[in-house]
Amino acid sequence: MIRTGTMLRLLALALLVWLVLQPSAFAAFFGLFTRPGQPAIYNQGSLLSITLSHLLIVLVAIAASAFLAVSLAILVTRRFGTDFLPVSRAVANIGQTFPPVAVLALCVPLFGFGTTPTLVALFLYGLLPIFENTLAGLSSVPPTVTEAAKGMGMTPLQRLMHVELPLSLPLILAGLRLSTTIALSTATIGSTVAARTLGEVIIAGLQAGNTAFVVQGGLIVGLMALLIHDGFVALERWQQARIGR
Amino acid sequence: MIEIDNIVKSFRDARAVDQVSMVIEPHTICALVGTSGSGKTTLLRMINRLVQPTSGQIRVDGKDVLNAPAYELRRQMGYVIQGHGLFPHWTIAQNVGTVPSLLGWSRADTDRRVDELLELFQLNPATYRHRMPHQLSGGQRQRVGVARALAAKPNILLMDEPFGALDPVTRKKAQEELRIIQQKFGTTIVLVTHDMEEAIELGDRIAVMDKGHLLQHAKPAEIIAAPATEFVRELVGTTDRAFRLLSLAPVGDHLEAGTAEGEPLDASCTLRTAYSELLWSGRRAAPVTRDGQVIGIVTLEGLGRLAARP
Ligand SMILES: Nc1ncnc2c1ncn2[C@@H]1O[C@H](COP(=O)(O)OP(=O)(O)OP(=O)(O)O)[C@@H](O)[C@H]1O
Ligand SMILES: [Mg+2]
Repeated sequence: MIRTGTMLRLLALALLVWLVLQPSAFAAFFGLFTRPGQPAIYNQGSLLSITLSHLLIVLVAIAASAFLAVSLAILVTRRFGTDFLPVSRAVANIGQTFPPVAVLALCVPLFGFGTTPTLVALFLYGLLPIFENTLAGLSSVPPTVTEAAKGMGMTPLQRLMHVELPLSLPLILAGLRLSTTIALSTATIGSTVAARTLGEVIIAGLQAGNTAFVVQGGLIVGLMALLIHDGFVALERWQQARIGR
Repeated sequence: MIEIDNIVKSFRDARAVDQVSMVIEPHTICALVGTSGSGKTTLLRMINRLVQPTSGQIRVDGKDVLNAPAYELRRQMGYVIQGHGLFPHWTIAQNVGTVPSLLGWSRADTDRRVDELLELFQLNPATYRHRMPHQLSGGQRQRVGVARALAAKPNILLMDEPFGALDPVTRKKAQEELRIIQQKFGTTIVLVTHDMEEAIELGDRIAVMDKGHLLQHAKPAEIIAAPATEFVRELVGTTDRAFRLLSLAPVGDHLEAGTAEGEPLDASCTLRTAYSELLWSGRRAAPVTRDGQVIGIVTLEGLGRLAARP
């Protein structure tokens, strides 16, 4: 028997796929939000390709922040790297506190309009949660376990790869989940500087006073965030259950 | 052979181990005893370089332990960490196979060795191979910790309170297993313990530590009969030292001629067991058998003499 939670998620997934592949099937529903004469379905581009572009931008940005954040967290938890801890914390914190809109504004003169300013903003915004979580994960490995790993004759690299990182995985995943869901919604503002994201649909709706577009864009972003969030939670749970926490 | 030469370890202001020198002969068990915080763990961990000595030298088979890379040294020595330290994300089989894998044994060899060891520690491989550490009881985890240390057949085994979490019955069994393994493979063992009983039972020699100092390093009989300091005397305990002395030798070593009635005793049981048995059954003497053959007797009077202060 499939539990109701799983059912709901499958339903959400089906809805999302259907909506993106065949938006015209929902014309009647979105028609409820239009004023007379307005199109119910976004008509300035394919929803599918905009959604894929949105996902790709998030994926690239988060992959980059994950790479840097995890590397930094590994560095500062090594004996030779403890001096870098305050610096790294500061970098990650600035990335988080600087409003993405401001980053966009600052990046446009540097990189011009297009995808790059959005990537930079999402990248900076994604650093902190992953960094802090990886740090928490690495420092929460029980000392008896790291000592045992040393005592068995593992090299520092083997300890990191076979013991410390796997044991930190649930927390690293939690960091990725936070960063990814935040980035999914934040990416929408990228379309103000001509990145191809679902913000395009929402802004088109705002400009034309067509609520149907706004709802469409919002719904797709929301469903994706929900599903990705749940996917991460499931992965985290599975990892934790394995370790018996 | 492990030679510890004038070794010192200071943590900031305090000296955890202070100028300890001792030689641990090959193929023997050295039991390291002392109160909590006396420096036993620190001394043990300097042998496999988990702790860097402040000064002094440790040699294994004549070679300074600092000569080779630490991880190579450690793979040659079994280490049972205080509080088991199993890898929580690995199965029992993976845990036990840690060092063989690091040494590059083939999968089949590692698997065979893992099963052999689980068998030895009374953990049915079919049941326990694929379990995770958190699915085991505390005592089972400790046994897995010992199995992991033995996996690559090390010549030297460092054990930090390996039987601490075991109930008396399982503990006894584990101690017997350790003895058998030690005799079979001629392993040199350094065993840290809180338990004087265990030290006397297992140790060929006992090293007593207090506040970082090595107070006495001698055979159990000598520690009991001639404690070097008041502290050692206290640790050994004065009330039952006669019984401790009796627990050191089997009856087979102290046979008397003659005949006796009643249930016979096996030659391998300790003098202490024999004494208790005689008192319990209200006899003055009992026959002693080996492999079912009567080979002599043991008497209350004789045991009394053996228990007297040497
Ligand atoms: N890493 C460390 N930093 C500072 N002090 C330490 C460290 N490790 C041990 N000590 C100190 O050194 C002394 C000896 O500790 P050690 O762990 O060797 O004791 P022990 O004899 O093994 O005790 P127990 O029987 O409780 O395990 C203690 O006073 C302890 O506080
Ligand atoms: Mg200790």
